[in-house]
Amino acid sequence: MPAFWNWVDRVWLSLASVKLTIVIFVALLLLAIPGTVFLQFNISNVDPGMQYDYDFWRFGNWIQLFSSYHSFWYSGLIGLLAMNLIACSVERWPQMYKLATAQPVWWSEERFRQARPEFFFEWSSKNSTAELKERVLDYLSSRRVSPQILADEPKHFQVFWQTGRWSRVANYLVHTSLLVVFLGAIVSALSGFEGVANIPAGDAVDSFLVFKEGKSSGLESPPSGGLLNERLLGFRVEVEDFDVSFWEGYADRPKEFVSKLNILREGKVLASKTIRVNDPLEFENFTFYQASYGRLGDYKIVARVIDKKEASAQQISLHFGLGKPQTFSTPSQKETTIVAMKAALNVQNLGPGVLFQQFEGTKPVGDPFWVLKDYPFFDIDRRKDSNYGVVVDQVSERFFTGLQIGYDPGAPIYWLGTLGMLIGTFWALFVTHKKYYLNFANGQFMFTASTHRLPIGFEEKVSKWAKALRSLT
Amino acid sequence: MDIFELSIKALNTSSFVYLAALFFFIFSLASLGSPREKMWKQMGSLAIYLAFALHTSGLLGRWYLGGISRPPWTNLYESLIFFAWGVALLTVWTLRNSKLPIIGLISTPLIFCLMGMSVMTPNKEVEPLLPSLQSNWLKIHVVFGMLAYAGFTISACLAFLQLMRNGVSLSKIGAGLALMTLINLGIAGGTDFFSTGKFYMARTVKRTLENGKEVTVKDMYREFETGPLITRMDEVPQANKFLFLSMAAFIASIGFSLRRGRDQSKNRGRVPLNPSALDASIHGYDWYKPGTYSFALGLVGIVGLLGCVFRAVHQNEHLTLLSNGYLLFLLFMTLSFCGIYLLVGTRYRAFLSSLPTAERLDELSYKNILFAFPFQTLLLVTGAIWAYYAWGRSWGWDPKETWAFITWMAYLIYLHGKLLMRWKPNFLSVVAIAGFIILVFAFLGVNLVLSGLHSYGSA
Repeated sequence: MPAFWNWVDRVWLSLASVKLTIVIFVALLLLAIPGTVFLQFNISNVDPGMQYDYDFWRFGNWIQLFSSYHSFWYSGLIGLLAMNLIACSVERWPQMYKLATAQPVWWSEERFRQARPEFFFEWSSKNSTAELKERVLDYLSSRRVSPQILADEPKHFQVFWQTGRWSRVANYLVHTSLLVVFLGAIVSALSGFEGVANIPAGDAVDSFLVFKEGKSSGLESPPSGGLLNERLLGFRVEVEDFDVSFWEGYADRPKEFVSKLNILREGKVLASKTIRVNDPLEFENFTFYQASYGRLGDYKIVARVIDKKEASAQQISLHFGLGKPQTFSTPSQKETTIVAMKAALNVQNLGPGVLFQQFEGTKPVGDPFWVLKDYPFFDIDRRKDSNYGVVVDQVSERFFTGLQIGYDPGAPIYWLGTLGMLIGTFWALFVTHKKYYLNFANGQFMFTASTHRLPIGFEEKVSKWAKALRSLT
Repeated sequence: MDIFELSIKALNTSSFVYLAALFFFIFSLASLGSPREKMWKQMGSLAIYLAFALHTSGLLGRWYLGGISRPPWTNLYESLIFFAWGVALLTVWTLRNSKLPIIGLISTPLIFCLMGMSVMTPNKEVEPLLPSLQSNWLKIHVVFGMLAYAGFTISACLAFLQLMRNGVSLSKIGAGLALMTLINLGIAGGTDFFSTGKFYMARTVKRTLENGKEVTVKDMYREFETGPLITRMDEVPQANKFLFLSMAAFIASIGFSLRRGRDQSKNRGRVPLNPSALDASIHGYDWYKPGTYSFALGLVGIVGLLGCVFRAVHQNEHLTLLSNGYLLFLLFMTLSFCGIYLLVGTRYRAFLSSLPTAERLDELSYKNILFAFPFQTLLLVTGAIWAYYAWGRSWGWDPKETWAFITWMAYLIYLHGKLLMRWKPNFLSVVAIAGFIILVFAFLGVNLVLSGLHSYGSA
């Protein structure tokens, strides 16, 4: 079917055009802009649906405006770029390879004189041809270039040497690496995931909420109930401790926040690490990043109850959260329930304190009373008619730690690609294929050089070569 | 006086020395061809060296105060200064190595604009770093960004000169400048001007920082708990008339210039294209008087607008120069570019002959992009690595990331156009200037207009 192959050929040739590359670049540039203006699903906690009116929301959803970088049009453009890249590379390879490996040909003197004047040097020498040739070749081998002799006659010789000829194909490293980056991104998108878990200090969880999940990520939903985007970890994550410190003089500017994490399975601790910002914990496929923290609005309170009548001063330790009732009984006080109603780290400049209320069933008894941590006898002395007094030993704010949980299986692939791209970029832009020609005939030296692209500092380099060669002869 | 105040003094002073350098270069333009020209150029270069020394010492002072692990490029104030420092560094480099003093004329308004914006930034404290910024990646990430952005900026300046040198008619450049000025005026007027027809400025109040120091900031409040932040505004009397006059004049100027351009293109076939003919076709203003007059009228409008602003600041106790500080410097930059343009027009021939060849300018512009592009790539890569360790994802299409990517794409187009498509120098220059406009948005616009994780812009 010649018509079919004809058609394939035409598609191939139009794919292999640099014009198409430019068009794709411009399209990628312009189509990246809407995603920075309209809310996106992937980067914001705000649902775009809450922000725009219904008709626009429906239209935007239809054209995938609210996930524009993962939309069919953006992914399609990137796919087209990949095809364009492959076609261009394959189509141009023979030509590029030939340029890099081409054998030099002998240049006539006229050819030398056609060089750009700043790259053309001429001087005379009275020494013998053989001696000059030997000196030049010795010098060149000391400069670690491999010269090729294009002409070798009694009164005439011509030497050629070159550097950086593989920089002609350095762009292949850049472009192959770019394809590797795409591959890594595809692997990540298919089997990676990203999610969050906000865990109160002291608690443990065995599930988290995903906001980005590949089709073959292998995550399981909880058997019943739970939120739509809840997924099982397969183990328990316990936040043994959370700590935040603030900069001196800045009440709200955190200096550091750390969480001590334990990974538990069937009661056994499998891994344990104190994670901080920029320093995550990795366990199996999961990586736990310290992303944020927040106040729970709750306090951890440790208090003791002291029996005032009993000389032995029997003490009962109690642990409170706000609103959590605690029941105790002492020899002189039967079955009493008290609740921590309110707590503060600084009560009227007297330090930490807790507001308690005594209950009988669901009915409050008496007035609520403040107990101050730094003044242990405050309550014991003040409520003269009661049989017990409360001493507070610890009041601390309770925080939750915000963990970002992710799995990025494509990472090794795309980091490798990125490295290749960086090396290739420097190689392709800063190394050029430099060719040098030196001719000697009838006591006259001619030297010229050329390069395949405008180089930085080439003029100086060529004149240095010329100077060195001149001083030799 | 402690080091903190000294460094701020040094930085503030340096911005005015840059301004002095700009004036010296303008004087050199006015005395083109006369023996004084060289003297003014030398004074301009000297002023740039002096300002750069002050600038550097101010930055070093802040670095000393913050300690080795807190380099002076972590918030909006410092970013402005550091970017300006990069542009100044490459200006000095170009002055010394390429022997191209005229670069000072184009780059000093930009440097002064950035430094002036930094002077207007309310919070100049050396603040300690948030945990996500306490990373070694921060140091090199921002340095790469500074080098890349500075290189692209200088390349755009050179591209602009290249366009002038390569015989792009003064009227076309004037039309381009008028369009840019119109956009700047539109930004300065803001949505309030277009919806109410009046020019407003933000009220300012004194506010106490976390560490107890007082600063003057915009008077912002919320009407209800989670609602948007609203700024209290005051009208500037008469300013809207000047703004309107200026905009109308620039629109008229564009119209006149484009009409001229059409007439010119009709004659194109008859003008022989050899160097001497090109020289003969370089004209000053006599070709398009109405366009020039309306351009000048627009400038008068801007001056009037600035006058109204200063009067309002003097009379209204709620308004200070900090009210619209950034806009003030945007307008100043516009004013200086337009002024330089008008001045260049009176001495166009002499100005062009003082420039190096168009090929040389194109080559220098390309070399700057060649220098900056790998750093832009490194900016993206180090940002991705840092984000991978800090946030658990390497690329998240956050607006700041996306705009850095867009900037990278623009220069990718430039390089492919230059190396593979063999585009003409004039078109490449236009691409370089477009890339610079994108860069300005990626650097400042994203932080001041859009929001994201890179929140150093919330002053």
